[in-house]
Amino acid sequence: MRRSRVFSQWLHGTLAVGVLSFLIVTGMVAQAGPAQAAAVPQTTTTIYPDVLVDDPQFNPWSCPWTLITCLWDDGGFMPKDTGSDQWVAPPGAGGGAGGSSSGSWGPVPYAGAAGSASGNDQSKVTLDGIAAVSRETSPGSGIFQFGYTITARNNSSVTSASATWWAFYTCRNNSSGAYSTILVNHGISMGTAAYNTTPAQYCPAGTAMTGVMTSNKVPPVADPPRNYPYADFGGYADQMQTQVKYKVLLDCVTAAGDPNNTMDDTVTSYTVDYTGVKGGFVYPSCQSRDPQSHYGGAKWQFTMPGDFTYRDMMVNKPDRSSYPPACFYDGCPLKVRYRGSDCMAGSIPCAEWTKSRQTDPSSYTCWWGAQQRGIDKCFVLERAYQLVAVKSTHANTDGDPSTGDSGTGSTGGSTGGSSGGGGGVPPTVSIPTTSPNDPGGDDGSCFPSGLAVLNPVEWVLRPIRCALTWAFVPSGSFFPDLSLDLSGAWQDSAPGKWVGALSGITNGLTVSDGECWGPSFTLPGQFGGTIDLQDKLCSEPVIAARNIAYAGMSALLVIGGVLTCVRLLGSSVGYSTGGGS
Amino acid sequence: MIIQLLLSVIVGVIKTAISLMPQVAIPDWVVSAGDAVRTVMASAGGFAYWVPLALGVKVAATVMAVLAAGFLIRVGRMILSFFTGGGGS
Repeated sequence: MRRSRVFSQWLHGTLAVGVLSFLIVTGMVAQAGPAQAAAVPQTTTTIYPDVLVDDPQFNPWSCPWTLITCLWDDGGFMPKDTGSDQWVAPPGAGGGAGGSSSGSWGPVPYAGAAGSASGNDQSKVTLDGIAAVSRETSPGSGIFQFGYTITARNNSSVTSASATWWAFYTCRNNSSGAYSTILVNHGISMGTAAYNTTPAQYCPAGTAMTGVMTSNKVPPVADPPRNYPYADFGGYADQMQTQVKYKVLLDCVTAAGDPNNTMDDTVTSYTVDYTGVKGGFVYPSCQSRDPQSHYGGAKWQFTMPGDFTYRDMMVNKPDRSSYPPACFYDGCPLKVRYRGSDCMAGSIPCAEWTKSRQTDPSSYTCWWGAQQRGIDKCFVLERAYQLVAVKSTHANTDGDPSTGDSGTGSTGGSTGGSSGGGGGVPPTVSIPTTSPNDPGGDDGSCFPSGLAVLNPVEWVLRPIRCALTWAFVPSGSFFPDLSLDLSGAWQDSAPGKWVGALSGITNGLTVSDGECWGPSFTLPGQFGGTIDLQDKLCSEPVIAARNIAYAGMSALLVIGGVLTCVRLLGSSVGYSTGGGS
Repeated sequence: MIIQLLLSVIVGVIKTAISLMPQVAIPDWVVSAGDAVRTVMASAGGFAYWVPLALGVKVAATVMAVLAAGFLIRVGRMILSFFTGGGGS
């Protein structure tokens, strides 16, 4: 018995020594090559300027409204087929317009009709067609003309109708590159006959037209704010019977990357007629403050009647994943896609996407709305998908994850400065890199060198460290590659696709805080339009009653939820809380 | 190397298991259901000041999670029931 135990101990010891020796030998072989590379290589990295600011070809005006047309580099218009919105090309349109469809644009927003008490009865006026075209008034003149045709129909029984058609067009200064936004506020007044007009709008001399946008839609009250410099009061205005003030806090992201350059501008004192026309105002332009800046978001505030304390109305701040493009919510953000799916903050393939892309370039694409762009356009989103929030407007917009704010201070400063230049020659910086196989500390070699050769301990520890590192420490690219492999397989699988589709549903389960006056109601015309319950619902004792009822409903929900959960869990383990014999 | 080998084998097994799942086309209504849900929630949001809708959504989500957990527990119990672990007469 004793002999067998001794033999067992000997056997275990021999095996342990054998395994350790094997690891040491193989580790030394594996490490011998890299360890001899004593010199630290220098990597030259190009710093890209902020290339995304106000790209003329992809003006962020799109989203909820219909982008009629974009002016491309060749000076021609490319009409956009808007599907259900039905673009109608003008007869004989020049400037490269092409493609057409027919049909009605439907009701005109903000339409009214005489003889009816309702102020915004869209059923009165139907927009049968909008056509727009733009071209230089004469070749080489540099003066662009935007012409449009409106065909509307009074389909009500009243003798006259009115409507307002709005459009926007942008003009880009040929020398400075600054943009200006021009609002077309076209009043339509008609009798029973069809309305048809063809006015023209011009960009100022020295500027080129870059886009025209319009819509026949009335945005619903709950619709997210649109991505264009226009504030539509929508249903909020209907709830105001007396004078209120509106304020827009506009965030202009400067070319130097400062996202907090807030422009505080009180727009106007605004009076809303209870039965009148809704209104709005044009934002002040970020470019008027800094030609190289772009729109970073806005917060709207308004005052309550009789109380001129500003309250938040809407906050239109693009989230980090869509920064810096001037898009709200999911309108038309710049995004990186991994194998066709939008990257999400914290997702494994995207957190270090610029790094992962080096080994898998075909899996990553860059998208601006529905347009695919060159991958370099997305370098500004280098850190946008990291789990810990890092604004992509930081200095690290060079597409190289190894250049951070810390550790390579010269990099950050030079990036911001180059962006401020707005498109100069990209500077280059030299970034020292370390050997990826450095097992840690020292010079990373598996054998001592210099005076260390005299230390016998070094001759033991270093080979062992090398061997253990080789055996148990995965290579630097192993985990990213593995996670890419696994996540790709998951996303391509049936469960992954279903989870992705269902997540779209669950993501929609968000509820706003609501307001004391509740939702907006609009009754048929004979009952007099919009109901305003603000005065009745937003004061005591209704608020006190609401607080009690709200607390009671919350308590019932929680208690009911807890009991349901207990019952479900109990039944799953065979315990029934119900009755029965 | 050893860790890499182990993890590679595990991931390979998982990928094989995933690849065995049949591909079922996702109906369009599922894809577009998110928009419908957002529309409904946006409309319901007008009542949020008066009705604890957000809390209701959280409670409903919790109940659904517990329901799923209960299902998994049941499945686990079923599987364990195949292994008697001795006993009996």
